[in-house]
Amino acid sequence: MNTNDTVNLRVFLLEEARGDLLPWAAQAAAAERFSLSLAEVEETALEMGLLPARYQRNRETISTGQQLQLFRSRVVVIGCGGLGGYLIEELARLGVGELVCIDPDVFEEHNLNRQLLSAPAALGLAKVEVAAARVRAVNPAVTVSPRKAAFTRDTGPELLCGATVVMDGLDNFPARIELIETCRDMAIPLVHGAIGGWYGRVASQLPGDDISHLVAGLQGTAKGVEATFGNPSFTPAVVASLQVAEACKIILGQGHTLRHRLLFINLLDMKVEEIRFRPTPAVSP
Amino acid sequence: MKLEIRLFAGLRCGNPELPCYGQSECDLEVPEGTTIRELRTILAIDPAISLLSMVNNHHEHEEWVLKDNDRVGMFPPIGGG
Repeated sequence: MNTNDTVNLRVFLLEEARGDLLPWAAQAAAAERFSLSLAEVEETALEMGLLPARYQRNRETISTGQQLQLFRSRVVVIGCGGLGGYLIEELARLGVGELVCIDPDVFEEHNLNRQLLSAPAALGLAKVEVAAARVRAVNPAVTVSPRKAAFTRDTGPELLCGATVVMDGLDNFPARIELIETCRDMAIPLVHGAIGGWYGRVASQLPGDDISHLVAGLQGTAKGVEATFGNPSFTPAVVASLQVAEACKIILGQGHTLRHRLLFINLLDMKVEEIRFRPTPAVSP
Repeated sequence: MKLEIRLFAGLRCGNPELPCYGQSECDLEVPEGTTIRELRTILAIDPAISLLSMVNNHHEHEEWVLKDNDRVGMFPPIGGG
């Protein structure tokens, strides 16, 4: 945009704003009138201190300046299944500006009991394509990049490039170990989550940390208790929501994160255990 | 010495000679100097399961020596997503 267009856009947004709220119709009209993406309009509005009205129920928790921080963040979600479906939904609604969704699989019938993005009509479709369509429908100002690929130590550095935070929605230990090690080596914050039956766990690995001890000895193990208990509908929703709250805090630098501690969630008895660990993890001598 | 044992996510004491056989929570008398690894053996938990162990809410390795009145938790691996 040239300077005149920028001024004209700003004048248009100020005229269309209701107080400091920018209605969705005005955001869409600005995009069309100035041949911009909805994301470009959203960024300009936030820079001006105007809050897209869709975020008005965020504002007592997240200021307009913080909403701009979220908009300028790139969150990479590894796995678009049980955890991933809720992660993507909540991150898009939160207003994270860029989402990269990674998964090599297509939806299958056994996903339907819990995976938010799955539906009979989606069977056989690539999970990442369904995820991208959902993000575009829910919050078209979010830039979403679907990547139909498996996360490995080799593909990792390219897939995680430029990430503000990485979300663990994986379903097996070998890939999870490689994800933890890659994020550690690239100094990118990682929010780890895992589920099985009534149980789940969440922890964060911030730059300089190493949570690989949480998966120590599991290289040769494909599955955990989920092989016995399966995964009901509610456990991924709980654990993914904790992960998104954690990612929001990491991006905004607020509150107490799960650094050096792990939450173990027991929905059968409705109990949460906190396991604290030292910056230098406990390993057998 | 006495320990407070908490086994999570389906783990149970597998030693039929103990009063807590089949249970996930119990108080147990063990010899002084017992390590986490030895406690696993006492409880007859399958050694093939890779456990995460905590003592008084702190993660500790398997050679950690337990003390009287410690609260010991053991967690099996959870890997689903």
